[in-house]
Amino acid sequence: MSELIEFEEEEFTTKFNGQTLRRLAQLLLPYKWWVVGFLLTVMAVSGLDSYFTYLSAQITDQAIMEQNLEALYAYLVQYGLLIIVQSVFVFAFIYLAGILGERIRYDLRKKLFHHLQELSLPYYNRTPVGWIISRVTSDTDRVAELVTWGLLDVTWSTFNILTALFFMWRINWQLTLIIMLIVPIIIVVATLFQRKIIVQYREVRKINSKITASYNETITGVRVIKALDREDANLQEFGQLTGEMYRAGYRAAWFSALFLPAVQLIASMATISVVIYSGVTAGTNDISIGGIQAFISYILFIIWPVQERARVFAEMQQAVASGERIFSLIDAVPDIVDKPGATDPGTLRGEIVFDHVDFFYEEGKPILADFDLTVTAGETIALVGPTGGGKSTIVNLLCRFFEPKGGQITIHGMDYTDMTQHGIQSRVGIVLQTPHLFSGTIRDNIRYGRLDATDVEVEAAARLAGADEFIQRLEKGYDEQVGEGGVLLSTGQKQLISLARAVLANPDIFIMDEATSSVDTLTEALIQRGMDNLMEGRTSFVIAHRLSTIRNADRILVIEDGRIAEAGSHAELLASGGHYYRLYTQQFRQELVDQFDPYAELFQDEAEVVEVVDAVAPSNGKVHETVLAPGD
Amino acid sequence: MALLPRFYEYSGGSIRLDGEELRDYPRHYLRREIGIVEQEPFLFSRTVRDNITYGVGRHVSDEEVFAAARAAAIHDVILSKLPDGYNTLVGERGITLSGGQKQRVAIARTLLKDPRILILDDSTSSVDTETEASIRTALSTLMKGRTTFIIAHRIQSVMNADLILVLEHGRIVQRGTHNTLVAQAGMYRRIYLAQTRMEAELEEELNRVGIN
Repeated sequence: MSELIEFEEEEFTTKFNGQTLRRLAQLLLPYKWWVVGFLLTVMAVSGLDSYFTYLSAQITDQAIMEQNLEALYAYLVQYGLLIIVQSVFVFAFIYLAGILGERIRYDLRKKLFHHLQELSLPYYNRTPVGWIISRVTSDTDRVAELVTWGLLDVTWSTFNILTALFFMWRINWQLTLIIMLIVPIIIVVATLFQRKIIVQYREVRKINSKITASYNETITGVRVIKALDREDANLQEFGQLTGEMYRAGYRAAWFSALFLPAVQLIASMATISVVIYSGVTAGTNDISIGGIQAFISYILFIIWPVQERARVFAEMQQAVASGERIFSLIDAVPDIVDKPGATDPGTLRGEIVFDHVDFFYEEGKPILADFDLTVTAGETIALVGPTGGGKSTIVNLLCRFFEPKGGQITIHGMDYTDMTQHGIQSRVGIVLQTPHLFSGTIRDNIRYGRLDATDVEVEAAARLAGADEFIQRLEKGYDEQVGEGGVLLSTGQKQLISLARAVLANPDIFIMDEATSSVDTLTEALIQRGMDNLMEGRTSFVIAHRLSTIRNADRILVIEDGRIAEAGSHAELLASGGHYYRLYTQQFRQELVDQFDPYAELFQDEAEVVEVVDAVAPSNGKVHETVLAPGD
Repeated sequence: MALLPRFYEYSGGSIRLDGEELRDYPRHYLRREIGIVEQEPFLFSRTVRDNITYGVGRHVSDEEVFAAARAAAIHDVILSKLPDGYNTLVGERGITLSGGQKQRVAIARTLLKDPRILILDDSTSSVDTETEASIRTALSTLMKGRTTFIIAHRIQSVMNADLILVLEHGRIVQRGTHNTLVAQAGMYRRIYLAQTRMEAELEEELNRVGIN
C-alpha cells in the first residue's frame, strides 16, 4: 500500500512538547503520593550521600588529626546509624520506582488494548501491524522508564549537584567559585561529544535496518537474482550500505573514545586547581586536610551527572517521543461509531437493500459506484468475478466493517447506520477464506462463536458443520491444541471449525468466502454439507470459487469493476453466454485440472491402493511434468 | 529445469549445449542466455521500472522499457492503474500487484534481457479470462525465435509444442508430438481423455441450458 510510507518510523522530535509532557504527568496523577514518596526518598538518599563525604572530612579533621578517640567513636556511631537509614531509603526508592513503572505500563497497555478493540477495520487496513505493536510494547516500556528511572536520574543528579555545592560552600567558598567556573566548560564539552555520538549511533541503527531489509530481500529473491545474473550489482549495492555502516560506526567509536579522556582531563584540571590553590594559600586560609579530601570527592560527585547530562536528556527525548506516539494511537478516533440513539434491531431477518451505494478505500479510486442490490430474506447469493472487482467490499460493507461513502444500506427497511454495531455484527456469521483461529483448543475456538455455549452445544454445532468427524479422529478430540493461528490444522479443517463457530452463533445472515486453495475432496464434501446446513433459512452471501456452490445459489451476481455485470440463475446466465459463461467454463477447466488424478483409472477397482497412491501423489497435478521444446 | 542454468550440478551423465559440455560454460554466461518466467515471480521492493530493468546489466532507455512492457501487455496497466506509473514502488514495501500483473512484469523483464533459451513455468493459476489471454499473447511474443521449455500441467498449454516429454519419477516415460502421444496408450492419453471427457460434460451442460 502506498500509504505505508508515511508510517515509516518517524525521527524523534527534538523539542519537548509541552502538551505531551502534561499528558505524561497526568499518567502519574493516580499515584501522586507514590511519586511524592519516591522523589522524597531519592532526595534523601542523594543528600545523605553528600553528607557522608562531609562527615568523612569531619572525621579526618576533628578525630584523626586531633587524635580524639571519643570524637571518633561519636562520629562512627553517627555514620553507622545514617548508613542504616540510607539503606532503608535506597530500598524504598528502588521499590517505589519498580512499582510505579509497572503501574504505568499496566495502565497504558490496558488503555491501548481497550482502544484497539474499539477501532474499526479501516484503521487496521491503513496501519501496519508493526506500527501498532511497537506502540503497545516498546513505547510503553520507554514511557514507563521515563516516569521512573528518568525521573530518578534528573532528581538525583540535580539534588546531588545542589547538596555537593552546599557542602563545598561550607568548606571553602573561594574554591567553590573556581569549580563553578570549570563545570560549565565540562557541560559544553560533554554535550558536544554526546550529541555527536548519539547522532552517529542513530545513523548506525538506521543503516542497520536497511541492511536487514536488504538481506531479507536478497535471500527470499535468491532464485531470481541468480537467474538474472545480478550477483555483482547486488554485491556493489550491499557494499555501499555496509561501507556507510562502517563509516558511521567508526565515527561513533572515535567520538566515544575521545569523550571520557577529554572530560577527565578537564575534571583533573579542577582537582589540580583545588590542590594548587590550597598549597598557595596554605597557612593563610582555614582549609583543612579533610576539607581538601572532601572537596576532591565532591568534584567527582558533580562530574558524573554533568557528563551524562546529554545522554539522559536524549533518552528522555526519546521517551517523550514514545509518549507522543502512544497518544497518537489513543487519540485515533474509530471510523465507525454508533450514532446517538442507535438501536439494536432485534433481528436481521428481512430484506437487505444496497441503495445507490458508493464506496472507496482511497479517495479518487472508487470501488463501488452507485451500486444497487436487493436481497430477499433467506436468499442465497453467490458473488463471482475477477479479483479486485468488489466482491469482498460488498461483504465488508454488509458486515459494516466499512460504511458506504454514499447511498445507504437498509435491512428490513431500516438504515443500518441507525442500528448499533453490536446489533449487526452479533447476528452475522462469517467464514473467511483463511479463517483465523486463536491459540487454544478446538473447543475454545468453536466457542468463540458464543461464549456461553455448553460443551454439548459446541459438539452439536460441530456435527452440524461437518467438523465433528475430523475432530473425533484427533488424538485429544475437542481438546486438541490448534497452535498459534491454527498452524497445526489444514485450511479445510480451519474452515470447518470456522463453520462450527458460525453455527453456534446462530446468525441471521451468513457470509462465506470460499477458499481458493484446493481442499481435499473429503473435507470439501464436509464443508459443502456444513454450508448447506448453515444456509438453510438464512440470507447468505457466498464469495464463490467452487462450481457446486455457484450452481446451488438462488442468484449469481457477476461483480466486475464495482458493478453487477450480470445477475441471474446458473442456467439463465450460462444461456446468455456472457461474462458468467466465460468464467464458468474457465472455472470448470480449472477444477478438472485440480481434481485430475493420473493414477485413478489404473487402480479404480482397488480402493485401498488408490488411497495409498493419493497420499504419495496429491492430485494437484505436480507429479506429472510435461516438458516440451518448440521454437527454432 | 534447474540444471540448465546450473543452479545445481548434475551428478552423472552429460548435458550438452551446442555440442559443448554444460559444465564447461561459465554460470554467468548461461544465466545471461537463459530467461526464466516463474508462475509466481518475485518482485523486489523497487520501482516497476527497476524491476523490469533488474538484471539487464546495462543502461536501458525509457523507450526500450516501454517497448518491452508493451510487448508483455503490461504497459497500459502500469500507466493507468499504478499511482506513479513506472516509478511506483512494488514488492514488500510497495503496492501489491496481482499474480497476472507480476507475471507480465517478469515477462517484460525477460524480453529486455533477450535470452536465447527460455524456461516457462506455465501452471497458470486461477486468473481471470482476460488476464490469461493477455498473458498468453505476451508469452507467445516472448517465445518467438527462442528455444523454449514449458513446464505445464494442462494439455492446452503444450498441444502446439514441437516435442512433448512426459515425465514420471524423474524419467521420460513418453515423448512425441500431441498427435503421436494421443494415439498411444499411456499417461498423456489418460490426461487427454480425462480432459476431453470433462470438456464433453461441460459441453453437455451448456447444451442443457440451451446454448451452442
